[in-house]
Amino acid sequence: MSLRFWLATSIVLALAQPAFAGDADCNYIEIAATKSDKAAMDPELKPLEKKLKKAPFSAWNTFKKLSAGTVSLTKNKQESIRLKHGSASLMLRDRTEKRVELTITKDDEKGKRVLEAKPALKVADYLIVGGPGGSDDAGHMLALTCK
Amino acid sequence: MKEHDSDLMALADGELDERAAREVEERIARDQTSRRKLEGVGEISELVRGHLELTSDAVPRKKFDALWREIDKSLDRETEPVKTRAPGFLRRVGRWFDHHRSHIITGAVSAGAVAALALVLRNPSDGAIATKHGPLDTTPVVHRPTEIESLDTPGGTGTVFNLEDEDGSTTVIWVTPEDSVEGI
Repeated sequence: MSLRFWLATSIVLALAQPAFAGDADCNYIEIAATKSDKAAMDPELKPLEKKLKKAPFSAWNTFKKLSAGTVSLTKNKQESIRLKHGSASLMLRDRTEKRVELTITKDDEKGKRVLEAKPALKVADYLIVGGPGGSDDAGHMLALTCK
Repeated sequence: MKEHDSDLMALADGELDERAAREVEERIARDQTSRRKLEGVGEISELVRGHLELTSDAVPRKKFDALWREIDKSLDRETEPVKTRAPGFLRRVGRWFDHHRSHIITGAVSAGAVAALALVLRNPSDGAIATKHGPLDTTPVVHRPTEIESLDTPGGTGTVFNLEDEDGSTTVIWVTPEDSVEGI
């Protein structure tokens, strides 16, 4: 290859917009919310503390981490997450530098599908998927953030 | 000076060929006056030669040494290889650009083509939207919260809301089962 070719290639590559490998890493935390006489916040929920003190989560005062982990996503490949209560799955549909497009499913403990959503999530923002859990006044949440 | 005298002087200086020298010698042998003249010429020559040698010896030795040094220097200058000064940094850079001018032009043209392509293929939502009446200026959105493109909650009701704080935006999808007496 000539020097001219390599010089042109390097300039083109330097000017090209940042490309992404098309992968994403998502952190998840499964949370149980209850109301008790004494408020308690699991230390591992510190990143979500401000949000969990706002309405409607302020209906509860005790938040406990049930499970947590990181899922590495490859485009169009579904990854399953086993939760303490039920299960979930994540699939990366597409991504840009700032946004991650996912397909999320959530099944209850009986394996019944309770949710299927296609969010376009801003990188580093949280998405919380939740609903009533266990007893009537308890809550069950899955908090998700991707980068 | 007679013509005969010049022959004597030529003989004394050794300037006559063999035949002329023999004739002059025969004449001298017969003529005593000529023989005395020849002897006088020889003495004068000795005197002159001696004077010249004394004069050359009188030249100071330092002058000779200085003269030889000058000669040596001039000889060295002639035989010394020509030393060229190394070109400066800017000169080398200039030479590099001269040698690679076509490469640089090719690279610049390629970069321009890529930039032009990027402008042509740019998503209209990034800046102006083309309309029949010309481009429509748009204001970029500073923060776009999570968008839910589709939501399906079999056997329940889904509610989507955002929580804003200094850490950013949090989108909540809350699913309330249909058989639930009270949702959130």
